[in-house]
Amino acid sequence: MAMERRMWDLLLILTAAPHSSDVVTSALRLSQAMLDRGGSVRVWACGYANMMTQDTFGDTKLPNTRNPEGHYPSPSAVVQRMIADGGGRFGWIACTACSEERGAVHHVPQVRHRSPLRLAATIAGARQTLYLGGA
Amino acid sequence: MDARTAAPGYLMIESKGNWAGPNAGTFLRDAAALAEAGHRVRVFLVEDGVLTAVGTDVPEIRRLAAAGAEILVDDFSAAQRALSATTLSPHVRVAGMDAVAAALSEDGCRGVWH
Amino acid sequence: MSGSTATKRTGLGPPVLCVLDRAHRGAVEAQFFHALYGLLDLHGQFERVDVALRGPAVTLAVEEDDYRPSVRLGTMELDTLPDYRGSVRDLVAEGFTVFVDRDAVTALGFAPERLVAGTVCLDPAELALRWPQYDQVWFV
Repeated sequence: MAMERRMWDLLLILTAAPHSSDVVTSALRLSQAMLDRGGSVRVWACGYANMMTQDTFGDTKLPNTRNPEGHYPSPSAVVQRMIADGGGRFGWIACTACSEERGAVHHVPQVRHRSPLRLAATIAGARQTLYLGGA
Repeated sequence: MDARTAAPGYLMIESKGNWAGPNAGTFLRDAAALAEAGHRVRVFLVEDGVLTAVGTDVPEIRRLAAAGAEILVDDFSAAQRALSATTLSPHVRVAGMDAVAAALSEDGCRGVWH
Repeated sequence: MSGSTATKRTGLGPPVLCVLDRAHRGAVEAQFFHALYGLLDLHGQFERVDVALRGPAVTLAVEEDDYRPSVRLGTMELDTLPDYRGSVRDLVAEGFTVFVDRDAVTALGFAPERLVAGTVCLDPAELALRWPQYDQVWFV
């Protein structure tokens, strides 16, 4: 008997780089809005979007010299927190080819590694897909 | 009739807009063409795309509105860019990401991000 | 956030005009570490650093009351997003001249009186004519 496949409500193919524009902020805000209405979201990180989840970040950003006591979560901490808070409704996939191409292969353990050869299958597992270009 | 043969509706998310350089407005002209062809079109302006909503007589916005498209402006992006201190087109409405999430959850809505 | 620069002004570097025409480069990931922070953090190494805001970046210098530097992600209220207007105020307070492109201000429908106090609203041609006052011009 075939196993029933899980369907995600939204897949975001995020290929634009962090620190290039507010595209990551928009993607995370949209993800949260979908989660807030009870939906599920998967992010497929391509290109430099794979920098978001490198395990070399640690939990916090570098110190703010103008506010040394401030607490500033790192990008990977933000993603990990969303995964943990999502209770299985928020997932993050690292494209293995893009990760290798960028030398960004050390992802936090909550991230799934997936070959680009599985992109179409991943899209098939989502009711809605948005491609956020810019890699 | 499957979803491909039925006239799909579009949620078109514009993150660049007409301040991003020549041809940056092409996406909004795509949206207008789809709306004029009878598709349900909603446009969500986000990030620098919200700057397109500034002013009362932006040709792309006017054409979209005339074609019956709904034009939304992201609240967060607008606040980042101090747009409360200027005048937005009467054809636009400020909305949050919840509007995008709701639209993308509808059957037959295709999302396109620029 | 406001505070004095941690970098002692040594003035070894040349006078530089920094032109900023891309304002928003990652609110969630950058937080305090945005382009204006870089200028505030490093300007002590230079004899002089001034800033010109052009295009969409002029909005950084427009005073308003709506923006909250905060976004909710999961159970976290990430309230450390960039404080754009505050950073421009800090630039002015720390002696930068902050030029704001008049054409962009006008095109976006902002009244010049809404600009952060102490900034200088300037026609684009006037800004170019000030380039010779600097050893270097950087588009940041």
